[in-house]
Formats: sequence, C-alpha cells, structure tokens
Amino acid sequence: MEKTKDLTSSSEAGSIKKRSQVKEVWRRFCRNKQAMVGMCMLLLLIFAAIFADIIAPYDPVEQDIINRLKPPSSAHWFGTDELGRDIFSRILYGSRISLTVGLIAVGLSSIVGCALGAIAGYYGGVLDNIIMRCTDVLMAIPSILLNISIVAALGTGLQNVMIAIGISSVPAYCRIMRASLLSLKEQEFVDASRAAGASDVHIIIHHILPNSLAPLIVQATLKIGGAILSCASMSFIGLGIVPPTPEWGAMLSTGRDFLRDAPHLTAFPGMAIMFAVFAMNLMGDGLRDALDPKLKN
Amino acid sequence: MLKYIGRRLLMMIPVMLGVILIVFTLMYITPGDPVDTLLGDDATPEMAEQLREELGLNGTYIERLGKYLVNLAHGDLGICYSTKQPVMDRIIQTFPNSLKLAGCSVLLSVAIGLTLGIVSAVKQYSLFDNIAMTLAMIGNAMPNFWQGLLLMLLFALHWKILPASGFDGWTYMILPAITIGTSSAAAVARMTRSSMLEVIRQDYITTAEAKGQTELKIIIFHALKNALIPVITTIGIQFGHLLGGAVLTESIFAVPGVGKMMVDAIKARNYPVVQGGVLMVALTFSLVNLAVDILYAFVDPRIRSQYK
Amino acid sequence: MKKRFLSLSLALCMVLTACGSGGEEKQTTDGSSPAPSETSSESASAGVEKGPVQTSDTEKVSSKDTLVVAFDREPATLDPLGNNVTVKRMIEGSIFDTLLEFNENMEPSPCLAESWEQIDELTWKFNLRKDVKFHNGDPLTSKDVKFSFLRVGNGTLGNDAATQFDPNGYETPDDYTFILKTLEPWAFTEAQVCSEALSIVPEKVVTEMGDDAFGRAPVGSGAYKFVSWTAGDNITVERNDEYWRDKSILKTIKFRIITEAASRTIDLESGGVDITLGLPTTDADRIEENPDTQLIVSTGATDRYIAFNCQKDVFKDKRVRQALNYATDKESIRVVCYGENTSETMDSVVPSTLPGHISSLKQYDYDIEKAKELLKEAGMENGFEVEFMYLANSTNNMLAELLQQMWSQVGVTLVLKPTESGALTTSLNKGEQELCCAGTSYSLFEAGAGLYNMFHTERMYSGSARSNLSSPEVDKVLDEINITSDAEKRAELVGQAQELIHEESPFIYIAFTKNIIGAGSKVRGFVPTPTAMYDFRTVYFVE
Repeated sequence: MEKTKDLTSSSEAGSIKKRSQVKEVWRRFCRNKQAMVGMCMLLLLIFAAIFADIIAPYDPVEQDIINRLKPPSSAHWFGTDELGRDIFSRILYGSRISLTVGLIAVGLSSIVGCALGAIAGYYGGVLDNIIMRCTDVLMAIPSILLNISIVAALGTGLQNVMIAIGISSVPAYCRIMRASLLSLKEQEFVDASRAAGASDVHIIIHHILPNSLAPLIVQATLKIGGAILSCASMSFIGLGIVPPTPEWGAMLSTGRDFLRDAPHLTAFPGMAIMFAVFAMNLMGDGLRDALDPKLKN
Repeated sequence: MLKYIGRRLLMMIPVMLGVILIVFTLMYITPGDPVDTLLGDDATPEMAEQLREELGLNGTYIERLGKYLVNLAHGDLGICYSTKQPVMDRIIQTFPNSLKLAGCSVLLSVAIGLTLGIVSAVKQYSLFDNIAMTLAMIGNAMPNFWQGLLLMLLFALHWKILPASGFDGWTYMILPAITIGTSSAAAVARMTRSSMLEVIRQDYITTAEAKGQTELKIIIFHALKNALIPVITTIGIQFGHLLGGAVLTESIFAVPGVGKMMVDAIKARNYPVVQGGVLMVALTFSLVNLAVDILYAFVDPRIRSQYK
Repeated sequence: MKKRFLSLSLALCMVLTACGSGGEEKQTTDGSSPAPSETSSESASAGVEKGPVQTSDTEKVSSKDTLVVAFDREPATLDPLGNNVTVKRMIEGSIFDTLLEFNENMEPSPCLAESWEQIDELTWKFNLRKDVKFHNGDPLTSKDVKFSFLRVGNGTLGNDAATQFDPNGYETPDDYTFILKTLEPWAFTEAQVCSEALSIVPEKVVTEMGDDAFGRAPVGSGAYKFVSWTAGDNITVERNDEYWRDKSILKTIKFRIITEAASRTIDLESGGVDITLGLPTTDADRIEENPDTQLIVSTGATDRYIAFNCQKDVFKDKRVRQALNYATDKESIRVVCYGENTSETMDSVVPSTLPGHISSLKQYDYDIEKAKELLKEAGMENGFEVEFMYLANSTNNMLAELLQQMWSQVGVTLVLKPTESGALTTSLNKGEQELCCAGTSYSLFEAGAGLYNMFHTERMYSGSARSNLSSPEVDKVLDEINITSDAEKRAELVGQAQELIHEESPFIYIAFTKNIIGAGSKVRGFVPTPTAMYDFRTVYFVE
C-alpha cells in the first residue's frame, strides 16, 4: 500500500523518500562496527591502488639478482622475492590487479546475470525455462573446473581469467534478479506503471531494479572476494596472469617453492589476499544487515 | 510428492545435456591435441595419425558429438585415452575418495558453522559474535592451497601428529577436511546467523518466550528448526561443489579424487575423462539439490504442500 | 670422471632420449622429476656428488621391510609398450627384465641374455638364461622375447625402441636363442636392448589379458611382483622370491604419487616417505642439513636450454641467434632457476658426462656490446618483438622474466606466453613458437642418438627438435655417427657435430641439471644410477 502511494504521488516525493531510505541504510551501516572496519580496509586498498606509483619505494618489476630472497629489512619492508624484486612494491601494485579482477569479473557477471534474470523473470514462460535451465547447467559444473576449461580454451592472461571467473558466477545474479522480479512484478506499483504506458525496459530499470538492488549489492560485494581467491587458484594451477605482472595469487604460488626457507615470499601476498577478501566480506555482511529491513532494530 | 520428484528428475535430462554440450564444446575449441601428450617425444607423424584415427579424433564437431551422445545413451562414457580403462572405472576409482572428503568437510563446516551461527545470532553484536564471525571469515578469506600447506607444516612436520599427504585411512582425511571445511564454515555460519536473526524476531518466538520456555529450548525447538532451510541449501550447494571442486586441496594433499583427475585430464586433453567426470559431478550436484529440496518438505510443512 | 666416462662408454649407446619439451620437460621443469642422471654405482665415484650415507658397523639393520618412494606423475600404464617417461620406466624396470642391462660403468652387460654376439653387420644373436621364470611360474623363452620386440615395433603408443629393427628378422632357432636384425647398420643396438622400453613380457599372459588390462596388472620376470595399483595414489610391488639372481632385501616397495612438489618434500621430512625422487632444487640445502634426511645428488645427463625456432623469419639469420645468445646472462639464469649446486654450467649440447663431450667450444659469453653489433650487422638494431612460449610453472616463469629483462637491454621485447601442457606440446610440434625453453635427457647415454633427434633435418618438428634446425653439414655428421660402430671414432664425430651445432647457435645453453634425491636418514644401500632407472634390491633400513 505504501509503495502505491509513492508512485501515485509526485515524483519529487518519491525521490525524497528514496533519499531518506539511502540515508537510513547508511546510518545503519555506520552503526555496524564490522562493516566500518571493512570499509576502512577497502579504502586503504583503494588508496594503495591509486597511489602505488607514489608510495612504492621500488619499481615492481625491477630485478636485483644479487639481493634475491632477502628477508624483510629497512630497505625492503617485506623483503625481496625470488628475482630480488621488492615485495612491498609488488603488493602495492598488486592491489590494482586484484581490485581490477574483482571489480571487472563481478561487474561482468552481475550485468549479464541481471539482464538474463530480468528477462527470465519478467517474460516468464519458455524463455524463463530456457534461461533457468542454462543457469542450472552452469551451476552444476564446479566453478573451478569451468574456470580452468575456459582459460584453457582462451589462453592464459588477466583478461581471460576475468572472463572465466565472470562467466562462472553469472547464475547467482541471474537467480537473485529473477526471484526478486517475480515477487515484484505482481505488485500494484508495477501494474500502475504499466497502465500508464511505460515500456518493459523502463519498468525493469526504473521500478524493479532499484527495489531488488539490496540482495544484488550484497552478493556482488561478497563475490569480489571470491573472485580474488579464484584468481589466486588459477595462478596455482598455472593458468593465471602473465608474468611479470605483480598479481598476489601468482606471487603466492611462486613463493610456495620457497615456503620453508623464505616464508616472507608467501606470507605477505597471502596476507594481502586475506586482507582484501576479508574487507569485502565484512562490507558485504554489513551491507546485508543494513539493507535488510527486517533487521531494522 | 512422487510426482514432484519425477518431474524434477525429468528436468535434469536437459540440464545434463547442456553440461555435456558445454564441456564438449569447450574441449573442442581448446587448442592442443591429446595425441601429442599421449605419444611423448619420440613418436613419428605416422604413429600420431594412426592414434588419432583410433581415438576417433578426425571427425567433425557434429560427428564426434553425435557419436558421444549415442554412446552415452547406451550408458557408455567412453574409454580413457591414457589408461585405456572405461571412463566409468576411472570415476569409480576416484569418486568415493572425493565423496568421503566432501562428506567430512561438510560435517566439519556444519559443526563449526552452525555453532558459530547460532551463538552469534542469539548474542548479536556481542564480543563472541564479533570474534566468532571474524574467525569464520578469516578461514574463508585464506587461499586454500596456502592454508593447506601451512596446516601440513604445522600438524605433519612440526607436531608430527598427522600424516602429511595421501589417502590411506581416516587420519589422512583430517587435514584436507579442515582446509576445505574452514572455508565453507564461514558461509554456513553467516547463513545460520542471518536466518536465525530473522526467525528470532517472529511472533511465535515471542509467544514461546512469553510462555516462559527456557532460551535453549526456544533456540533448539523453535528457532533453529525454522532457520534451517536456507542453511540446508547452503550445505547442499557446498557439498555439491566440493565433489569436483576441491581440486587444489586434492592436489596439495595427494588425495586421488575426482577433481584432480579431471584437471589432469583437462591438461592432457583426455576428453572422455573430462566429459564423463564433469557429467557425473553435475549429476550428483543436481541429485543433492533435489535431496535438499525434499528435505525442506520434512522441515517445513508449508513447503510440503507445494510439492503436489 | 670425464675420462672414465669416455672410456666406459665406448660400447654403449641407447637412445631413450626423452627429449625436448613434451613429456620430459613437463616433469623436469617444475622441479619435480629427475632426468636420468649419471653416476656410477656402488661408491661415490663418477658423477655422484653427494652419495647416499654408507653403512657403518655400529648400525643395526632394522626389521622394517616396506620402502615408500614418492614421485610426481602417475604413469598411464605399466606396459613397456607405452611411451618413455622416466619414472614409468623405472617402475617397469623393477617388474620386468631386459636382455642386456647397463652395468655400473654404463656398459651393456648380461641380464636375461647370458651372452651375445654380433654375427654380421646387421645381425645379433642372444643366448638366454635357462633359469628365468615369469611371476606366474612360466619359463621365459625366446618366443616371449620375439613377441615383446614385435609388439613394440607394431605399437602405436610412442615407444620407438624397435624402429631400427627388422620386424621380419626376429628368429628363435630354439627356446633359448634369439636373433635380431637391424634394418641398417646401427651403432646403438646393444644400448637400445638395455632399454626398459624393450622389457620382456610373457606372451601367453599378454595375449590372454589383452594389452590394456596387462598394463594395469603387469606380469614380468623381474625382481618384484606387481601387487596393486590404487589409481592416483600408489603402485605397490613385492619381492619376487623366485628371482633368478640376488633378491631384494626389502619385502615391499610402495611407489607413491605426490604431484605437488612442496608436499613431496614435507612428506619426506615428516617421515611419510622414505625416498623422494626429483626433489625441488630449492629444498636441497634443507634436506641436507636436516638430521632426519639425506641428500643424494648425482650429475645428470640432462640439458636445459632456450631454443630458437630456426624456421621462423626472425631467427632465420644465424647472426640474430648469436646476438641474443650474447645478450643472455646464462650463469644468472642457471643459478636462479636450477640452483647453484644442483646444476652445472652447460658448455655444449652434449652433457659433460657423455662420451664425446667437448669443453673447448668458444662460448657466447654475456656481452651486450657484441650482441648489439651482431644485431646491427643483421639489420635488426632497431629492436623487434619475440614471442616466448613456455610451459607455465614457476621455474620457467623465473627464467622468462629474467630473459625479458636481459633482452630489453638490446632492444628486444620479449612477449611472454606461458602455456599449459596440453596446448604447448601441440603448438611446439607444429613449430608455432618463436622461442621456447626445453630440456633433453640423454637416457640412452649416447650423444649421437640424442643429437640426431634434436638436430637432424629428418626430425624437424618432432618432440625433441625444438630448434627445428636444418643444416646439411650437421645432418651428414649425424648420419655418419649412426653407422659408426667404433666408439672412439664415434666420440670424435660427436665432437665435430657439437662444433657445427654450436656455430649455428640454435640453443642458448642454460644448465646441465643434476639428479636430486632426498632420502630418510635411516635408508641405506640406495644406488644412484646414471639412467635414473634405480634398482631398489639393495636398499634396507637401519635402526
């Protein structure tokens, strides 16, 4: 009932209401300590990624064979790797790669997934059936195997790894989108809009998407962490990025040859990955709590 | 109910066909010739051509796919290129190992996840909630292979209380199960917590509280039962994915599982094994999901009424 | 040591050359599998740099009778018919016997054949022992030998051991005499007969079981009987108490498959494994220092090199290849990728342990100015792009990154293309790469045989010939080696071939890698052998 009123009243009132909703969510998000910690961690990462050029004391690909495998010291805070490169600088530059992988892979899968989910949910019928069976197919294949097959087919490299990770997480978004569409499309405000002559695309983008955003955002935030981990796994199998790109997963998997004698080669990239994934998970959980109206109090 | 199950089983057929189509196509477009890997370095071009003919690799895409599907309809998954055993035999050798491992890891993650989830829901925002969820999330955030190696160093080398690698009894299962279990425990914990939080706020819980039942009783008999549904889904999905997806853990701990077999097969372009393996894993995954849905019906009478 | 080898190897040859980038490279470059190494047995003499701990009087023999050996890659089959993969051949060696075998001096010596003679240029006669029985109790006769040879000749699985023999020339005048003919005069016949690829299988059993089933449950006449094979986990064999010569001390050997190198080392250190084959170079020092383990290092017969694809336009000019050879700091790459102490400087395509190796070649020492000069001469001074295709693993990644940085100094942009094994072998066999890195193991212990596979025009685009060199002069010398039965003369020709090949600069020499084995501190009696075909009969434990 409330929502119908929104629509029938002036659009201005609607936007005020929306703004206050965002405010309310933000307020609740801020109250959640974990979420704030997560956000600070994320901001730190973004900061590192943007200013890597300035902060990094060394060139991340500059080799120095004489000083290879050196433990952390004042000259090299995180020590040097198997080719004498400064691990601290590589980690800083690596944050760019990891954030890119996370964002692009998730962006790709959420856009494709949402589009498919919207089509399936809105039109229903045969189309719905076909799309949902396709997601069933993708869900039924373990994602790591799907990733490996896709990268094997396309060749190694950052771009193909992102595509692979993106494809394997399409079904999740598709399902979320479809589910919320199904529950929304029968509601009165959608009917009202349709009666007013709005096109299908308009209805989906202006009325349904905003209302199903909450679970999508939560899913996307959590999936960024997952994408970073998947990328690391691909490096382990030897299907990751092309060297000398300072990708954390690749650093970690190269470092395992030196696991015992130079543990800093694995410790720092490993912790960097943990840090990033942890930050995204904290954020995701915080957002979920903040966006869930049932948990208002 | 039976009708519902029947319909679901029927629906699996197109899904399985889709799985085959995707895997077959991916393998087809992947560069690389199985013959090169099979023959090694000393082979002559004639040997290669002959073997290619033997393996039926000279046909077109449609011919090969058609042949595979016809064989499949007869229950024949083909012959492994490298060992020359029927693919079914290879799956039978590895599948139980993965099943055991997945079972153990799921048990572990449920034990950890449910406990953490329940306690932190009941004591939301308490110190325990914060610590428990943080720990669960750290387990989830650690790259699996790194965690596995560190566990191995600690338990097998440093304390010498568990075997490092292999699959020769239940003690060998502990480390890999912890490696996988901790990462999925977080998912279970998170799911339990949020669905518990939802349930706790509902009227019947308040009623029960008003009736003066103890907190523990309420949690177990009222809240947990109703919060279980989404948790079961999570567990189902985890289990399904662990079957073929524990590739890195299987490799680190030298567990002869189906995931490792398939990755080796992808690398060697051993098409029948890849196709057969993925098909079996996908089938199991779908069956587990069906089982989960049926389980819902037992947990929740309202859902049961929908399965007509 | 070198001299000793020269003289020893007069007679021998044998081309198990598992070369190039296919199987062998895959194993060795991830720091895992051993390439056949070389060393003479028994004592820490030829080739053995870090011998196994010897028994001392104060030690008490333990009653432990199961040996666990870890290696990296599961064989597809234990049928000798299959292709040449080092560890596969080693396990086969414990189950089967061959007509001849290499003794500790790497000379062919009697095994199933108590004596043999060359009748004419093409014909060889072998007199078999009469007391040999297969594990099922059947006697081993010349019929089985003929069957085994014919089978390999007809096989399609990449075993090329019998390609030089005339399939119609095998004769069995009686149960214990076997005659074989080569198609052309061939200098490596005796060495080839030593190869595990020509193991003798029981005709009756193979025919009954069929090839495929036989490969999963082999029956031979060797020192160990096959017991079980748990797919992906282990292969177990047991002492053959009816063996016709010295029996194994230990009752059971369990060969365990542990793919991940780091896990393999940890399992050795934690005592789950007694012997680890193909220890990663990065673990060598620690295994040596650890009181619970011992390190065994022996000089190998394996090359590691970067190969120019001479058929690609960019590398058709010899001067470009030489220039880039000068632009490469080979020593740095060797130390970083293959370990200071676990590899040796490579100064020729023929490993220093093989007869005919020469160390007098004028090396392409690291010299950027010279490189620039040569590039200018070739008209390439303005820089160009080269694609480097290699098997994606951490050792190769390091090599590629080092090379990229070195070549950038002469204006060459190296585009890295790490590729997974399945796609790589096919691409290389088609000659699609511009540059690749590879390794060659001279497992037949005969330089001529290996060089033929790597550099003869006939073998272009085959698994071992990664540079696809085609040079009439080289071909001529290699052809001559093949038919020269006089070992000293052959060694001389091998020297000539090395000079010719070196001048062409098809390879950048990186390292001769050694064979690194880790063993528990209680293991005694292990004999590191040149061919990496370890014989575990003498191994035992002490308290």
